[in-house]
Amino acid sequence: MDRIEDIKKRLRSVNEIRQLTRAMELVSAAKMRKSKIQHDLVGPYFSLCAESMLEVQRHSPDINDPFFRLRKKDKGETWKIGYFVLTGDQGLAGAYNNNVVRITQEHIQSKILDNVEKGLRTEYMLYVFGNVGREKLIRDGYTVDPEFSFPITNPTYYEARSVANIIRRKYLAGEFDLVYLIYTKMESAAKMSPMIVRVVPVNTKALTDILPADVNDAGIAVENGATLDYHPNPNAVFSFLIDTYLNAMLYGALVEAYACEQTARMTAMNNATDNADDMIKELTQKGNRARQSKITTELIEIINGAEQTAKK
Amino acid sequence: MADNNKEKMKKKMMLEIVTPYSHFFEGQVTGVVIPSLDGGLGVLPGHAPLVVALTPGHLEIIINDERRFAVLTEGYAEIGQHLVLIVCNAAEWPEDINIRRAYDAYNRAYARYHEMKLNSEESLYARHSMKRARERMHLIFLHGSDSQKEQLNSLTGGTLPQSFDVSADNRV
Repeated sequence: MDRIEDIKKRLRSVNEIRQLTRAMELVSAAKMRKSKIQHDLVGPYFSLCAESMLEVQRHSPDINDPFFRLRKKDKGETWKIGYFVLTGDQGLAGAYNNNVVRITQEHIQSKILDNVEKGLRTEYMLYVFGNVGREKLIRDGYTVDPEFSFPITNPTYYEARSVANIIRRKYLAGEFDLVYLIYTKMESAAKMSPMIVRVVPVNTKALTDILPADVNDAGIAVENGATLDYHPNPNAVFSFLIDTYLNAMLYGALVEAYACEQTARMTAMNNATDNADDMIKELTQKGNRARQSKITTELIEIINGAEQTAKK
Repeated sequence: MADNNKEKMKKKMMLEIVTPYSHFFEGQVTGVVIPSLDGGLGVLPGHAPLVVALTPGHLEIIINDERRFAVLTEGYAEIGQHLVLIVCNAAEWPEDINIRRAYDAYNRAYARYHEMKLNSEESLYARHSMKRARERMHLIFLHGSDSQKEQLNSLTGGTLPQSFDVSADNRV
């Protein structure tokens, strides 16, 4: 049987931890509500943008914009890939950060393997949002751009736009052939899954995947059979479409990832609080038992002592 | 009269404006004037399908005989026979515009524009900021409330910066 003092000490520390996790749970619950609202507001913007891209591509399949064309590579050449990975600034969010880091590593390895089989070389650069993921990826020996640092908390459209500018500039300059965005998508309130989306060149299939199923038919401005005109000219319209599309993609992903992080943290902290509650119950019971057995021992000693003196 | 009203009802189209921060507008309108790259583009119901690039400028929404104005920034518009869909970076009614902020933003961007090398990426960026701020101030100048106009006057001294065109350098 443990000593009652030890049990009391443990009980105290478990109680303190419980208070901590409970407080964190409440904080992330508040943050989650805020980011959920932001997420719901960006929803229509994000999906309309993606939808317009699809529509334009469907109506004008012969677009000659660099953002729509996948570059061709011959044997011995190098694919340059840019990854934009969205992780959290803090830990204590269950498997949230680990999941993102894991699929990033898997994707890089499978890409390299794929290209080796085709006789191509691969160069990649990771741009990581959030400290936790960045440190982990650096520790594991992946190439991470050390100068790229953007806060993931409370994302703004302005930040998304500066990142989109980086992507556009590097893509046009030939520093990237492919750009992937890796973030966590919220499928329902309880289910979150990390996912990889190719941002440029525009990937119609992936776009269809990230759109909610009911959006496909909603709000399509072009009736069947009609041709689509561009004003003032297709190129100007495309550069704007691409701008808006990149901004929307990034902003949407940032907001979604942030909302996911808060939800993950809330769930993790909720579990921790529940566990602490269980532990407190168990320890209290143990403590009571220890106290009782201590009293019993003392009583026996007293009675024995009394008997001894009576015999004398 | 009833028929006339019915006729009016028929000639309407759906207008939807979305920005990253809000679903700015959704409703039936009689017409709309969109700030396209080469000037205001009036759209009535039954327009041929068209995709238009937007430059920062003024949007005019016409519902029956009533006109409402708003300022839009970069984005695009999809026009169909019964639907106009505008997707842009920001949209604001005159009463939502922070005049002080627009004025400061203009001056900041103006200073930055003159510091930077001509046609460098930073200077183009600054020019776009100037344009956005200028259009906000201009909207207040034209359609703001009296108190807003007064505030604008006291800041600018009555003269607005000249209008200028940023359509040539849209990749910013």
